[in-house]
Amino acid sequence: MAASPSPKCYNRAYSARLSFRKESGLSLTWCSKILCTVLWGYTVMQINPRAYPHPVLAHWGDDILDSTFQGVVSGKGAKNAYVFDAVFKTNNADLLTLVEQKKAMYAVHVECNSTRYRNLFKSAAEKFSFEIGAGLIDGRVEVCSFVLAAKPIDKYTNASFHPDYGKSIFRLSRGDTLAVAHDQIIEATKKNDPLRKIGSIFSIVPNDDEKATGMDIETDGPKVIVRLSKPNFESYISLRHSADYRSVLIGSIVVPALVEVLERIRRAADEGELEDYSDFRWFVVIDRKLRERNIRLQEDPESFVDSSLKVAHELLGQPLSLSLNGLRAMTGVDE
Amino acid sequence: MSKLKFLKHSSLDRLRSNIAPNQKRYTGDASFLNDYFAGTSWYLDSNIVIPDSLELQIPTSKSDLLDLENTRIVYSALKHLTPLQASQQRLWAYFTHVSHWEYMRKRWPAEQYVGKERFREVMHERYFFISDGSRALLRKGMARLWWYGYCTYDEARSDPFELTGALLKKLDVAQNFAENPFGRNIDVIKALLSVVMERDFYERKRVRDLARYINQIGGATILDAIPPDELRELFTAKIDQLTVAA
Repeated sequence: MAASPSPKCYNRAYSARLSFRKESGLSLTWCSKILCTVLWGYTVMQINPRAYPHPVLAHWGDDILDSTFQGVVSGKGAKNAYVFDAVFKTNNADLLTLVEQKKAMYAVHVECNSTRYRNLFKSAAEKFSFEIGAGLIDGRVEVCSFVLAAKPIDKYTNASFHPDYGKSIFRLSRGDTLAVAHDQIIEATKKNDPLRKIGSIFSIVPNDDEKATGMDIETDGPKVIVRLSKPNFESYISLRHSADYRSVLIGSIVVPALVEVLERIRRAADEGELEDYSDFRWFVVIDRKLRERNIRLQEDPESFVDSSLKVAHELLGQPLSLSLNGLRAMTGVDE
Repeated sequence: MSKLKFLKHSSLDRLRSNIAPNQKRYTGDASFLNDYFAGTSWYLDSNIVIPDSLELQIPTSKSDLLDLENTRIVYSALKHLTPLQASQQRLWAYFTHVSHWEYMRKRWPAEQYVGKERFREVMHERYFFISDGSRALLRKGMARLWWYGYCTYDEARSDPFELTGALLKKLDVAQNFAENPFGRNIDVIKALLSVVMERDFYERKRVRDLARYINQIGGATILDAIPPDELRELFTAKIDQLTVAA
C-alpha cells in the first residue's frame, strides 16, 4: 500500500536502507523477546522486525532517530467482557502533529488464535479504553500497538528520518504503519479457570493399545495427556479416590510426567522452537509457574539451571515428602 | 428444542489419545461411544438450546460434497453460539462422534486411511482439532460448517449465504482466503469475497496470487484500518490487474 510519489525516490531510499542494515550486521529475521507486566500476570513481547517500504519508528530500527514510541495495553475481566486500557507515548514531534491533524491515529490490533478473533481499536487520544465480549476471545491474545495513517498522506516526511533517507518523501495510504510498539501477549482466562493449577493440566487416560506398557505422555493438546496401560489404569482408578494413596499416585505418575514435559520444553527452548507450544493451555500454566521462579525459557533458556526433576518437585509442592509420609502411615512404620 | 450436548473432558482426552487403537471403530456404521464408555457418564448437557433435529445432507459423490448446503443448515441452526462456544472441541467432538456420525463417515470415510501412518493425523484433523488453533476450526468436520457461515453470513444480502457460496465454490478459495490471517477479519473477507464473486475470480493460480498480494500489503498496512468500500477498491484493482495479466 505504501508508495512514494516517485518510484525512483522510493526505490533509492528503500534500497539504501536495506544495504545500511546489512552493513550494520542486523538481520531481518532477528527476534527479541522482552518481559513486561500486565494485569493478568506477565506478557511476553514478541518483536518481529521487518522491512517497511517507508520509514517506520520501531524499537528495532533506526529509520527515525532520537524518537521513541510506546504503547502499553492492560486489561481486566468484567462480567461479560474484557476491558482494555491503552496508553501511548511518543516524543516524535511530526507524528504527534499528524495525530493532532487527524491524519494519523493510535491503534491496537488484537488477535486471538483459538477463536479466530481479529479486530482493530483506534483513537486520536493517547489514552483510550475498549471492550471485547467475553464470548469472543479465550486464552492467548496477541496485542500490537501502532501509529497508523488515518487517511492517505501524500507527502510523508519526518524531521527525524535517518540521514540515509535524505529529503525523501513518501505517499502513504490509510492503514499504513508509521510507528510500531512492542507486541504483547495477554492471557484471557476466566478467574475460575480450572486449568490454572499445575495438577489440573494433566489428564490421565487408559491406553487402548493392548500392547501398551507402563505410561507415556502426549503434549500436543490443551492438556498433557498421560496414557497408562490398561492394567495400570485400572489400578489407578481403584486407588485414586483414596486420600491415603493420593500423594503416592502423584509421585509415581504426575512427577515423571512433569519431568518429561519440562525436558521437552527445555529442548524446544534450546532449539528456538518454544513457539510450537505457546498456544497450549498447559504450557501457559507451566510457563507462568516457571516465571515465578525466575525461569524465563523464551527469553533466556539458560535461566533453567536446576534439574527438571528438582523443578518438577518444586512446582508440585514437594510431593516426595507427602508420598513417603503416606507410605509410612500405610505400612505402620514408625520412627 | 433440545440442549446441546458435549463430551466430558475426560472422555475427550481418552478418545483423542486413542485414535490409532480405535481405527476399526472409526469404520463402523454407528457411533461407538456408548459401548466404548459403557458404564460411565461420558457427556453433559449444556444450557445452549438447539433445534431437535439438525439433519445434514449426506454427500453421495466426491464431486458434490454439499459443504454449502450443510453450512446453511449448521449455521442457521447454531447462529446463536458465540465464537468462544464454537471453538470448544468438546462440543464439536460430540457432533462428529455421535449425532452426525453418518455425515462424517460419508464425508471423510476413514477406510482410506486405515493401516496408514496418516490415519491418526487425518482423524485428528476431522474428528478432533489439530494443534494449529486458528486453522483447526476450519478443518474439523463439523466446526468448519459453522465457521464458514460465521465469517461469510451477511444479512444485508437477499441470500445471506451468498458470500458463503463464493468461499466454498473452490477449495482454493476457502484455503487461500479463509485460512490466511487476513481471513479472520470478517470485514476483510466479506469485501474480498464480494469482489471475487462479482469478477468470477476463481482460477487457482490467480487466487493464490491474490492471497499472496494481500499478505504482502498486510506486512506494511493494517488492513483492518481500511473501511470496506476502500477494501473493495483495493481488491478490485488487483483482481483486474491479475485478470489482464493472464
